[in-house]
Amino acid sequence: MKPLLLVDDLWVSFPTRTETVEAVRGVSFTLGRERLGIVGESGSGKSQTGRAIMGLTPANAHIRAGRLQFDGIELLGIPARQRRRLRGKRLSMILQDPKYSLNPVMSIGRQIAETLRSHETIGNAESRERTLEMLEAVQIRNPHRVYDLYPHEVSGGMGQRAMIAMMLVAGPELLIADEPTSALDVTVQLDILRILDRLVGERGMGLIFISHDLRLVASFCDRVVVMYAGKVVEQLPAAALARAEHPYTRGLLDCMPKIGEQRHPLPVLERQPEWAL
Amino acid sequence: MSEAALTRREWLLSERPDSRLQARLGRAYQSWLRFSANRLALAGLLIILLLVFVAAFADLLSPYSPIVGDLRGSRLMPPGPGHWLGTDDQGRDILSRIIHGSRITLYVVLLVAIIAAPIGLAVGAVAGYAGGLLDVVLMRITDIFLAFPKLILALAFVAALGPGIENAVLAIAITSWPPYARIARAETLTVRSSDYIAAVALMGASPSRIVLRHIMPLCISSLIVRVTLDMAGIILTAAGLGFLGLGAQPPLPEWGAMIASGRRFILDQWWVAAAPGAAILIVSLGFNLLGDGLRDALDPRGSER
Amino acid sequence: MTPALGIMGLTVAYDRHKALDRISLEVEQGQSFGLVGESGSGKSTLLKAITGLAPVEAGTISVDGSKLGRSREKAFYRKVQMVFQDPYGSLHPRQTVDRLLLEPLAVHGFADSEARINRALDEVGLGSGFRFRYPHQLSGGQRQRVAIARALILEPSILLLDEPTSALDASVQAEVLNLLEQVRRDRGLTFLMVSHDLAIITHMCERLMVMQNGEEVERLDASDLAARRVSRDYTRNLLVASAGFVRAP
Repeated sequence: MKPLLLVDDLWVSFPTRTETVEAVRGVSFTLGRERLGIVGESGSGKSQTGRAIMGLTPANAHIRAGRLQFDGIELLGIPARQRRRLRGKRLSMILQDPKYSLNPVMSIGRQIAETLRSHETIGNAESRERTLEMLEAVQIRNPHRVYDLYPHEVSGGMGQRAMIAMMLVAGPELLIADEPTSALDVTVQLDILRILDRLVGERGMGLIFISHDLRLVASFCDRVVVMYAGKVVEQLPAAALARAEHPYTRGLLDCMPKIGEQRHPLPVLERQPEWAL
Repeated sequence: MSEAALTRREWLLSERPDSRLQARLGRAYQSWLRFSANRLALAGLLIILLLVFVAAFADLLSPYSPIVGDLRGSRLMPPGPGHWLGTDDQGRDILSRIIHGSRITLYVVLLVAIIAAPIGLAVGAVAGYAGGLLDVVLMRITDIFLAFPKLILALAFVAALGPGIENAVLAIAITSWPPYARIARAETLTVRSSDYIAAVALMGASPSRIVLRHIMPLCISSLIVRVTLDMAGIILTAAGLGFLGLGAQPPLPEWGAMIASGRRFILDQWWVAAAPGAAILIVSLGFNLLGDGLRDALDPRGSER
Repeated sequence: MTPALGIMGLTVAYDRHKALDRISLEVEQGQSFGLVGESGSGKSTLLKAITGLAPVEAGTISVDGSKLGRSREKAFYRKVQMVFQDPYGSLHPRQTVDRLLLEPLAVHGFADSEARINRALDEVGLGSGFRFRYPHQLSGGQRQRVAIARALILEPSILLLDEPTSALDASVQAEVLNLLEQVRRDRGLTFLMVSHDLAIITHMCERLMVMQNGEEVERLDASDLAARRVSRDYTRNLLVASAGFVRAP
C-alpha cells in the first residue's frame, strides 16, 4: 500500500550571520492512516519537522529532502499556489496555544466558515450549517452561542476545540498536532485528546502528534518517533516503549517523577555526544 | 596582524566573558555588527561624523570669515573658484558661513536632546510605573503640550522669552519632550508587570531603584532611536525659528536665518538660499538614516533572539 | 512550636472576583508544602499574596510567628524569596548574571558580594564561567539555576516556588528538582511549592493541598496521595488525568 506521507532524508537549516543552524538533520519516516507520535525536547527539531511537512517553515530557512511525498505528490516540487491549496484542505495543523492561532477580531464561527469557503465553493447558509455541525463534533455543547463568540471570550479548552473544528472542517487526510494540549489543564487535556482520538478514528485520518511528553504520546499513538538534536534516534511501536533501547529514550522515561515512587534524587539524563552524531 | 584582529573579534563575541567589561563590550560589538550590516545607516553615521568634524575644525576649514564680508568686491557672486558656494548680499563667503553654521546646528541639536530626552524619560517612566493619580496628572500635562503644533508652541515660547539662540533651544526642548514621555511610559507599561521586575521588587528594592536601575535602561534604546529620528525635526524647527528671525540673530551664520536672508534674491541668486537649504537637507537625512539603523541595531526584541 | 509560615482565613479579591477564599495553612520549619490545582485555582495567587503582590481582603499571614502588615519590610525579603515559573521572563534581559546576583546584595548592603556571587553560582552548579553572561546566552535550565541562585543569595529561610520546572524539558526538570532538594537539605529551607503536576508535588513535598476555584478541596499527606487514599472526586480526577490517556475501547 502506498503510504499517506513519505519523509525521506529531510533537512531543515537556518542560516544566521555567523553559521548555519541545522534544525532537522536527515529525518526519515513513513505514515499510513495511523497515529504517529514525534517526541523530543526543545531544540530536537520535532516542531520544524512538522512545519516543513506543512510548508510553514520560515522563508529564510533551507529545506531539502530525498523525498517528501504526500499521497504521491512531491511537496517540495510543486508551486506555492498548489501547496497552499493542499494546506487546510488535505493537510492541516493544530498549534499549541489557541490564543495565538485564532484571529482575535473575528468570531469563532466565522473563522471556521471562512476556512471552509476558502476550500470549497459553497453558500453562506451551507457553510454555517457545516460549521455548526463541526462545533458539535468537537463536543461544544451550545454551538449556536459559541459561533458568535470571539476567541478571548472562551476558555483555553474551548479555544482548542474551536481550533480543532477549524482544522478538521475541510476534511483533511493528514493532521499534524504540535503540542495541542500542553497549554491546557490536565483534565481538559484528556477531553481534547478524546475528541481528537474519536475524530481521527472516525474519519480515517493520518495523525502526527508532536509533543515533549513521551508518556502522553505513548498512550495516545500507535507508533513513536524519538528525536534528538535534529535526528531520529529511535522508532518503535508505542506499546513497546517500555522496551526502548536507546539510552536517550530510556533516560527520558526515567527522569520524570512518578506518583507512588520514591527516588531521591531523580535519575538525570547524561547526554552523550555521540547521540547527536 | 589579521590573526590578532581575529582573536580580538573572538574575544568580543565570546559566549563566556571573563569580566564585566568584556561582557559589555561584547554586547556593544554585537550591536555594532548589526548596525554596520546596514549600508544606509553607515552613510548616515558618516554624514553625522562629518558634521562633527566640520564643526570641530570650522576655524581651520573655512577659507573666509563667516561674519565679515567684502561688501565692495564680492557681493552675490555665483559659485566658482575662490568662493565655491558663492557669496551673499553682505559679500560673505557662503561656504564659510555654512561651515561655521554647523556649530550652531550641532549646539542646538545636542542641547535639545540633552534637555528633552531625560525629562521625557523621567516623566514617562515615573508615570508608567507609579500609575494611578500621578500617571493621570503627568500624562494630562504631556497631552496639553502634545495638543499644540510644535512650531507654534515654540514660537509662542520664543516670543515670550525673547529671540535668540538660547531661547530657541529652550523653546524647542520644552516642546519636544512629550513624545519621549509617551514612549517611555509605553515601554514601562510593557515591562512593569513582567516577572523580572517583580523579582527585583522581591529583592526588597525601592520603587525609585526599580525605575532608575531596571526600567529606565530598558526604555533608553527606543528613546535613543526616537531622539535621533527627531533630530531632523529639531534642525528644521530651529531653522524655521531662524527663518522667522526668532532664532539665532544676525550676523550668526544659522542655516535657517541664511535661507531667510537669501529669499529676497531666490530667483536671480538662487545659491544664497539653496546652499544652506542643501546643508539642512543632508544633515537631516543623515540623522534619519542613523536613527533607522539604530532602531534595527538596538531594538531589544530583535536582540533577544 | 511556631510554624515558619502561617496563613489564616486568607481571602484575595480582584474587583469582585474572589481569587482566594478563606485559605488557611501552616508550614513547619524545614517542611515542604505543595499546592496543586489547575489554572484559576488560586494557587499562584496565594504566593503573590504572601509576597505582597496581591490585594488581601481578609485574613492574616505570619512568618516565624510575626504577623505581616499591609506592606512588606526589607527584612521580610531576607527571610522569604521566590522562584518564578518562566525562566525566560524572570531574568532582566539586559543584565548579566553578575548584575542579577549583585542587585539583591546591593539592596541589602552586603559587603562581601564578590565571594557571595561566586559561592551562589557554585551552589547551583553553574560555576564562575557563567558569571558574565547575559540571559539570552543561557539555556532554560541554566536560567532557572540563576533564578534559584538569586533567590538563595540573601540566605532566606522560606522559598516560594511557582511551578519552577513547568517551562523546562523533562530531563532538565529532573536536574532542577534535584538541585532544589539538595539546597533544601543543605540549608534546612522551608518550601511552599505550587504545581499543576501531582507527580512533582508528591516527589517534592510531604504535605499538600488540592485547590479549585480559590478554595481548598482537600489536604493530604504525600504518602496518602501516593497510595491513592483520597476522599474527594476532584482529586481523584486529577490523579486519573495525570496517569495519561486511556484509549476508548
